[in-house]
Amino acid sequence: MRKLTITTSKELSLEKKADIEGKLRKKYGEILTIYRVDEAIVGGIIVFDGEIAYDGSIKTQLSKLKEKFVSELESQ
Amino acid sequence: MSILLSGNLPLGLDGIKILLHLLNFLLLLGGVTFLVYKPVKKFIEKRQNEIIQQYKNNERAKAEAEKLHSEYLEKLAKAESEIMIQRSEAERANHIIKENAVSEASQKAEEIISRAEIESQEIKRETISGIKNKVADVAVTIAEALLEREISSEENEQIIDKCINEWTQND
Repeated sequence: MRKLTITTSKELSLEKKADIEGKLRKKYGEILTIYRVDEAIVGGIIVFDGEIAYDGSIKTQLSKLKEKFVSELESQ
Repeated sequence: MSILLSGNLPLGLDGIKILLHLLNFLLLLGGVTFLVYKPVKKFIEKRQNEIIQQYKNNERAKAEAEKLHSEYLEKLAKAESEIMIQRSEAERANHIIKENAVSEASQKAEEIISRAEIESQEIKRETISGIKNKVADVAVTIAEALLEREISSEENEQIIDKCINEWTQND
């Protein structure tokens, strides 16, 4: 059984949780999910399977955008 | 001679007296010569020799003095020449020191200016980079605030679905 930590910015509904877990079972098989709410990620989702963190948070996307923005400013 | 001795000379002259006077004169002459003339002559000769010797000594001393004077003038000229040479060398050394000091100061000034320019460029670059980062931070902060306020639950769930689908379908 794989332990997954799922982080979102707001509490998910039960239906949504079930939907997510169904998709994750296709990848991992039997899973044990732990949900966390962190408003700092702004939106999106982060899934940590004990080895890899799949980061789909808006916070991270904005950070990448910022790096790209600064890089383009530097090149000017 | 017998006429002289008889005492009957013309004009009333007495021959014996004349002879006596002549003898007297000769005696006086001899006495004076012996007692006065010879010592005086000897004294004069001695004095003359002394004077000559003195004169020779004076000449010798004069020659020596002139020699010393000449040597002194030679040494003086040599000393003056050496002084001139040393003064010239000192002036040359002083000039070299001055030139080196000016050159060194000029080089240091150039180094300082160059370093200041580099530092100034660095500060400018860092400032601009800082400003760019600041601008980016502000833009991201605004974007975060906007998204936090504006993103709806449905839109958030759409984002979540998209991410989950990507991760689970890539295997």
